Formats: sequence, C-alpha cells, structure tokens
Amino acid sequence: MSRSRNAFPTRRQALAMGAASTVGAFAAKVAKAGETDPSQPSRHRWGMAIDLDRCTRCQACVVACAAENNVPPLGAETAVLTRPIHWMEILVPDAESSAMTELGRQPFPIPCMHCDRPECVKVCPVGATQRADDGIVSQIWDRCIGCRYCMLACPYSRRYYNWTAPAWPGGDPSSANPDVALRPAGVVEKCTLCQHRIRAVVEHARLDGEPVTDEAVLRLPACASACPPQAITFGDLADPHSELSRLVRDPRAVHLLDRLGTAPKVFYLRTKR
Amino acid sequence: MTGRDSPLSLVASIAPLVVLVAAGGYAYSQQLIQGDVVTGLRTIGAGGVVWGLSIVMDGFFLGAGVVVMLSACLARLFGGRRLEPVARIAMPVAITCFLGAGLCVLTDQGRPLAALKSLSSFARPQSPMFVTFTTVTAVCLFGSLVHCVLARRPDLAEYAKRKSFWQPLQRWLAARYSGTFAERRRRARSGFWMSFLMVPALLAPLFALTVMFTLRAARPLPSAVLEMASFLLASGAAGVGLLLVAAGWVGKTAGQEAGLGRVARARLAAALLLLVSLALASSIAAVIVGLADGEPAVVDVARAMLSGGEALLFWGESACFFGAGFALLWEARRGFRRTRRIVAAAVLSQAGALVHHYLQLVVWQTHGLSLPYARGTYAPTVLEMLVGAGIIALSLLALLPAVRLIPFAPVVPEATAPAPVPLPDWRRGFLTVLWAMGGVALAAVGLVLSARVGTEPFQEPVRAGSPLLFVLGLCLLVTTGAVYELWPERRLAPLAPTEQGGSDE
Repeated sequence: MSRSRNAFPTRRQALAMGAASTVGAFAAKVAKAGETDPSQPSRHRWGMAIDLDRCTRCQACVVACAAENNVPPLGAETAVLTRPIHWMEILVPDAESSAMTELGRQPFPIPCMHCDRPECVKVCPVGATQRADDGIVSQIWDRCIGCRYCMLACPYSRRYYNWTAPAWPGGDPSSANPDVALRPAGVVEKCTLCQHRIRAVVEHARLDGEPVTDEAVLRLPACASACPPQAITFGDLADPHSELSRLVRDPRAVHLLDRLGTAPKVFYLRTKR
Repeated sequence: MTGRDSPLSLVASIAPLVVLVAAGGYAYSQQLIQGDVVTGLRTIGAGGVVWGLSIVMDGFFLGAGVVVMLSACLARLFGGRRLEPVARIAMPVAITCFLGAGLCVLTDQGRPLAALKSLSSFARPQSPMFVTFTTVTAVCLFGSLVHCVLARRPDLAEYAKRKSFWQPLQRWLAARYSGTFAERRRRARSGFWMSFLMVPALLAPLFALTVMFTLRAARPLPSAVLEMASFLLASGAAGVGLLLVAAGWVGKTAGQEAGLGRVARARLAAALLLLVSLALASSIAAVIVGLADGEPAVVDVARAMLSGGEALLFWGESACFFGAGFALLWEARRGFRRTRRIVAAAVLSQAGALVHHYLQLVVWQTHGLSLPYARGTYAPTVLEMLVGAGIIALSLLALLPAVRLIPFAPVVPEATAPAPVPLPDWRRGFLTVLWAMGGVALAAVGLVLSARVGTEPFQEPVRAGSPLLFVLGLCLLVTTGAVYELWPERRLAPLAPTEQGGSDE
C-alpha cells in the first residue's frame, strides 16, 4: 500500500517536473527559431524566358525534358493513336488555325506557363494541382483523379493525360530518373520547371547558410541546360538583379495570350526581324 | 415495369436491359484494364478532345434531372391538386436521371476509386465540380429520394395493405400513417417547405454544370452569356420533354389514371413549346454573335457549326428544336389533346438538347483552341458507346424495383376515419428546428473548412474529410421534413367505457 503511494510524485515533485518541461519546451523553441523554417513562404518566384532569336528549334529541350522527367517514350501504337506526352514541345502553328499569338506564325518551344492566375488550379476539384509559394504550378500525381478538367481549362493546352500505363523499353523503367516519380495510367501530368532540381539547389543553399545565386539556377531546368544556343534562361523574378529579370525588362519580352489575364511566368523574347 | 405487368412482359422488358448492362460492364472493364486509350478521347492540342460522350451524357442527365425535379417541386408549391401527377411521375424519373449522371461522371474518371476518396477528403469549393459532386449526392439523389417517399406515403400505406413481395418495406416506409387530418396537414406543410428548400439546392448544380459546359478562359462575356442561356434552355427542354415522354409511357402502360391528366399535360406541353422556341433562338443567336466576336477561337467555333465540319449536327439540332416547336404549336390549336404528337415533340426536343450539349462541349475543344494547334476530331468508340448504353440500362433497371415498391398509379385514399385530435406538441417543432439547424451548422462548418475562408484560395481543406461533412450537413437538412412528419403524434389516452359513451354523443 505504501509502495503504491510512493509511486506517485509528491506535489513538490510534480511542480518541479512541470517547470522543467516548460523550460525545456521554451528552450527548444528558441533553438528552432535560429533555423530557417521550411514551412515559411518562399522568397523566390521562379520563371523562364525563351529567346526566339537564339532558339534554333533543334528540339534538344524536348528530348532533355522527357529524359529528365521520366516521360515514357512513345511506342508505335501510342504514336498512331496520337496521345503523346510532351512537357516541352515545339509548337508549329497549324496552317488552318486562325488563332493568333504574340509570336506570329513562327514555331516556338512551349512548356507550361506556370501562371500566377492559373485556370487549371481554379478548376481542379481535389487540389491535385497547386500553385506553390515560389510560383511553380505543381501536380500531385497521387491525388489526381483523372477528371481532365484542368486540361480543358488550360488555354495553352499544356497538360497531358496518361491514357494508358507508360510503356518502357523492354518493360523496364530502371533507367528512369529516381528524383522524379513515375506516373500511373489515369492521371494528368505537366511541366514542373524541374522542381526537384530547384528544391535541391534551394536546400543546399539553406544548409550552407548562403543565398541562392543567379548563376546556380540560370540553366537549372533540363531544357535550359540542354539548349545548345542557351535560348532558355531560368531564374528568380523576385530578384530584380537576376539575368531573368533583366531579360523580362527587354522590350522584346512578351507573355503568350496576355489578353486572357493568366499572368504567365514564362516570357518570350520575340525575334528582332 | 409499372407494377401491372405480366411476368412474360416483365422478362421481355428486362432482358434487353440486362444484356445492355452486361455489355456496358464488359466495355468498362476494358477501359479500366487498358486505360482510356480505348475511348475516342485524345489530348487537346494533339488533335483530340478530353471530354466526350460520357460528359455530354452527364450534362444531359443532370440538366434534365434537375429540371424534372424542379417541375415536381414547383408543382407541389403552386400547382395544387391538378398538377399533383407531375410531382408523382417526376420524382422517380429525376432520381433515375441523377443516378445516370453520377455513373457517367464516375466512369469517365481516370481513377474512379481515387475519385471517390479524394473528392470526399479534398474536394475544393472553388471548383465547379464541388457543387455538382456534393449537391448531386446529397440533394439531388438523397434529397429527392426522401422527398419522393414522403410525398407517396399515403399511397404506400394503401399498397402496404396488399400482399406482395414489397409489403414489408412498404409497411416500414408508411409506418404510422393513418391519414388523419393532422397527418395530412403536416404532410402538406413539410411537402411545401421541402419543395421550397429544394429549388435553390437544385439550381446550384445546374448553374455549376452550365459553367463547366460553357465558360472558357478565352470566351468573351457576350458569347459566354448566350452559351449559358442556351445550355439552360436546352436542359429545360430536355427535362420537360423527358417528363412528357415518361408520363406518356406511364399513361400507356399503367392506365390513364396513373398518367398526367389533361390539365397537367397541357401546361407541360405549353412550357415545352416555350422552352424549345427559346432554346432554338438562343443557340442560333450564340452562333451569330460568335461570328462577329473579336476572339478568333469563338469565330472558328461559330464557323465550324454554321458551315464547317459540325454543320450537319448544328442544323440537325436546329431542325429537332424547330420540329418539336412546330408540332407543339400545331397541337396547341387543339388544346394539347393528342398525347402521341406531344410525346413525339418531346422526343425531338430531347434529341435536340443532346446534340446541343455535344456541340457546346466538343466543338470548343476541337476548334476553339487559343493557340494555333492542329484542329481536332472526336468520334466515340464502340466501347465508349457501350458504356453509355450500359449506364442508361442500369439506371432504368434501378427504376424497376422503385416502381414496384411505389407504383406510379395513385391509390384513391379511403375515407378518413375519425381520429382523435392531436394535442399541441411543442417537441415536434423544436426537434424539427433543431434538426434543420444542425444540418445548416454541419454544412456551414464543412464548407468553411473546405474553402479555407480568408486564406490563399488555391489551398487544400483545413481538415481532410470536411467536404464529406458538408455533404452530411446537406443530407441532414433535406431530411428535416421527414423528422417533422414522422415524429410520433401525442394522442389522447383511450377513454374509459363510460366516458366513451358520453363522448359519442
């Protein structure tokens, strides 16, 4: 009986324990305040500029994007059924179409525009596509239900649906990039501006306690790094001194379908001719 | 299928439906196994459309179902005894439509099981699909079912006296109904308020559907308004037409007493005449205004419909609406007496509405792209059509047990037995108000948690599962009438024999 009574702390012990735990919690909070909280809104606003004077339409960006992001190669059957997936492609204006763009009738590379007011995000019924704090419009593959409303809403038609399970050469996806998830049949996918590369650079900079430099990200996405004439420039629109911000201030810089008010973060530098 | 069929005719009517359901099931299994590559859908911008036959059918069923149910509610609100048949026939038809619409959407999803899970957990009120998902499940399907059962309880009580397979269920649904004056008064009151509340709740998914079918980023306001109006009018024509067809069929198979009656038929036919005329005018006006629009995409769509690849469908739709309107106008001179001609006009109006929805959804995807991609085409595959046919058959099959349980034919109520006057019961009113407030509160909490009011709009719900809370709140709200009506009555205690003698005098 007396033993069981002794198992309970006395009032004085309970007070001491309470005070100690309060001090411990406060100390942990103070220690944590010194670190950068990853849940805090990002200070970056990523964007891209494509210089059409430099672009040779060589499609190196298309191939690099597909390889980096595990876009499965088109089999003969899928090619016949015209259900391609190209996060980045060269849009060759159709002769019959009367749709006019700010770029005239010349072919141009076209990734996702990562709009500030994205139509796809507005209509997604389950929040499978979201605009992150750093401006990237990303896709949560696992949550996507395959309703394809985002594809209908996107005025740039920059979203792709997995009409069937991806077919890898020899049925073996082991050559796939481990940093990018493989998408199953029945989900929509799109360009993420190589979000995994951006996250890696930002995280390294955070751990080193240094800011993300413009040089570190200038050719960061796969399309930009593979472009032979360096027509694609990536960078931080929130940094007024970045190379991208300088290009955006160029009189040649335009948005695609500016009249729709979607505020894209991909800019085009029109040809001088 | 009306409760009066012989076993042979019943089998003859069920067998084709079962075959169609089996074929649809097989086609859908292929779609699940091989992916949506077996459909005629393709990537937008690469020569295809992403929403095709399934969504067109969803728009048709949901639009028509909402209009049919609205007709039932308005008939109960303003129609009096003469429009009672409208409500009686409309409710099961509307429920069948909602079931079909739900199946169409579900089979169109790339991952249907994930869709059920994700919509329950993460549905976003900012998306038009939120309204259609939540209100179709809670109000359209569940609410209509509750409304239908409550409205037919007197008939159920009569049917429950006859020996049949459905008798136990009929007894359970009509439990405690004895047709007293107080009960009838309560029934009328709850029916009125349920109809009153369901009108806005039904309009919400209809408008959300209209937005999904007509609003596009590149479409200017005048064109969008006209397209929205034409969608609503075509849905109205489809709904009223469906009601007239269903009533014609009920009248033919279950007897004239089960049909609409002359007054209700004439009023519905007049409404259909007005709706098809306006639908025709608005669809032609939308195309003409589109031709003069500054947006190239809108002009391309208008040209494709007037003289391009879709001209046959557009003029076919116009011919359907015109034919229906002409037949109804002709019949109007005779006071809408010929059921056959009215039903033919109603079928034409439905065909017109279906083609109208198809054109609105598909042509924008093939010809209305804002960037100079190649134009697309769309042709549904056989598997796609089989899935659609299977859904229609399954919805009709679901109607079969429903009309066996609650036949279309009304039962003439027996003379009401003298019943003791109920005591004033404050508990009924209190519980009803409490129930309704609970529903409203639950729905409000679910909506606020889902919408993340006051924060960045492109975020997920505060709590996963809050959309389901909203649905549950709506379900509670639509059962308020049942609580009011079914709460047991306080009656006077049986009188002693000596007292009874005195009371008889």
